[in-house]
Amino acid sequence: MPAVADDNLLELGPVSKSFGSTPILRDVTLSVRRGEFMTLLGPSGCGKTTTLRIIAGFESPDTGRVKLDGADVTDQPPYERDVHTVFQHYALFPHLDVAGNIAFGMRMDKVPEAEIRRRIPEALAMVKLSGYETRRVGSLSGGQMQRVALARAIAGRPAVLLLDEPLGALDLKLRKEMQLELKNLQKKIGLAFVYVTHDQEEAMTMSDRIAVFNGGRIEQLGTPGEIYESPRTSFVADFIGGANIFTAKVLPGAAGRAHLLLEDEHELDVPLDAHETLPAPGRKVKVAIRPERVKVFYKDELPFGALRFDAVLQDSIFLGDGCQIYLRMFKKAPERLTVALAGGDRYAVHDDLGVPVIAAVQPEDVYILESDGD
Amino acid sequence: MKKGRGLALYCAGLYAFLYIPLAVMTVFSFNNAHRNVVWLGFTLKWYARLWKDADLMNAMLTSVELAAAAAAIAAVLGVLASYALTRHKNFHGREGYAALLDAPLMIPEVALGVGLLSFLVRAGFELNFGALACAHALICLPYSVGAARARLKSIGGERLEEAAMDLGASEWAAFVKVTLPLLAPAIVSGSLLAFTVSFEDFVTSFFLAGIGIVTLPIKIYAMMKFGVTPEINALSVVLLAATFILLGLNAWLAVRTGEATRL
Repeated sequence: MPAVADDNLLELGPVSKSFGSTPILRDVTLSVRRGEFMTLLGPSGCGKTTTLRIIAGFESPDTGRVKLDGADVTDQPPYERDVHTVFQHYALFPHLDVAGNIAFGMRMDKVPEAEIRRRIPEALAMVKLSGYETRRVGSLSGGQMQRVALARAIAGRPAVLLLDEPLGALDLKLRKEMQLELKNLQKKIGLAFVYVTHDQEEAMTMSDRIAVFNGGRIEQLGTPGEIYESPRTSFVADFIGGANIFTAKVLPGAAGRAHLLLEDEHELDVPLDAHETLPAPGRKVKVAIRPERVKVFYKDELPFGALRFDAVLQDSIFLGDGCQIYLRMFKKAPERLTVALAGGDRYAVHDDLGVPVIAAVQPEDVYILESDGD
Repeated sequence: MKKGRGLALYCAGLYAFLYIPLAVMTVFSFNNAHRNVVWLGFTLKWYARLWKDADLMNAMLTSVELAAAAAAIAAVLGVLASYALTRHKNFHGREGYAALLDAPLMIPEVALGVGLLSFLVRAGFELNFGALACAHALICLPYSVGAARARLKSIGGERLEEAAMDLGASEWAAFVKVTLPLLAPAIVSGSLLAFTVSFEDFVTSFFLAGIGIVTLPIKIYAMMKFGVTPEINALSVVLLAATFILLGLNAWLAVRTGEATRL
């Protein structure tokens, strides 16, 4: 599909990288479209930051190429690449004032002084710091430094903006605010962002697409909705949103459906999604159920078509805006089922510990995971 | 309370021990007598005589020139060495090399002097001002390396250079536009210390001065052969004042940049 390929601004892959004998990245392939907000999401040590540094030019891949706007930039040093980075710890120049920091990249690019003087207030306005030109960097708060770092990176109008956990050092409230602001700014200027974070909620809020990294590989790449609604592997299911993951035996069943036996001997009969595949009968497979998709009933009033799990209430945690309860399913070997209840649903569950309940899950909310993904 | 007074007394004793000899010297430099025994009234004539002593003034000038040259050489080498030691993480035996740069602080200066002298003579170098300046740079180097290295570590220069390169600066431009300006206070403070060390050095100069180079400490030594005259007292007070000014400047810099370079 050439139309799609033309739309790719940044192409990477298949990139591998080792530090000494430790493999950091294995065959990472990634493409970022014009104006896209792409998030590299994963736990620390998963390779997301190394990927970003390879795009910026601070690391060179052992194998694989980096293409920017169609041109191979793999062997270019960082200062020749048309990408700028917003660093986690800001990395503002302490000997320059705010304007001097913002002008730095443009001066290096030999932008005419008149143009630089025009663009500094423009960049400051974009990050809502108008009038801060002559402030010293040391006198700014963390949030303000982050904004200056952002202004400095966008003022030079790069083709792609790289952001390395830029909100990691801010407190929760400021972080939430900045998430929205960043997203709005990105939409407004139409710049492609490659955003590294370990915060799945942040990734969900801001991204057009998310690449979920684990152990140096991309486990899944898709829109936030796709990743949430159809996780491919148990890692993705668990890392994004959290999930109950069970091992089940495949039983012979109808085409297009999965007939499964959980280890506690609950039987499930669920439809297969288009991307889901099932191993042969007799083999094991992993399934995931989202905690917030489980309903709990105290008497036999199961919704139509729902799968039924017999359980007892084992524990509950109050979370402020809702609560999480743990059920012990007791058919044979007990397994634990985590259930998330939204606010207002039910708070007084701790009085009921030990009470038998019925948990209900709609068959389409049971995800069949890829067998190799663990 | 009693405990506090005891501590105060101890401190007073310590400072008295350190500074009374200097104070006595200072007082007698204003004494209108030829010997340091009895006080015969206030005079500035010893200072006036210093001023008129052409040999002494020449020695002073030589020492200033020498110290400036040594500090400049040490500053350049020190920045380069400290940069290599902080920036290149993986080179083998880094701490060993760092220790070797500090070694001139520990090596007995007599040994250093003998070594330098026999090396320079064997190698056929002339024992001139240049050779002496290089030798002084050697004993100054630990101070300039130490100052620059501490600063490089504390500013996190690597991150800032990466940011500069990310914004389009070549490695050289990143060094000149970012690292060097941030390093400047440390270069100045390291150089002030180096200047002081060279200015007051006696042993190395004594071994290497060869013919015709008379530094101030050597001149004082020569004058001492005829006893401690009030003139020498006056000269020492001048040197003392100069040292205090340099140290004060260094302390002021430290306060301004929030960092101290210590002797």
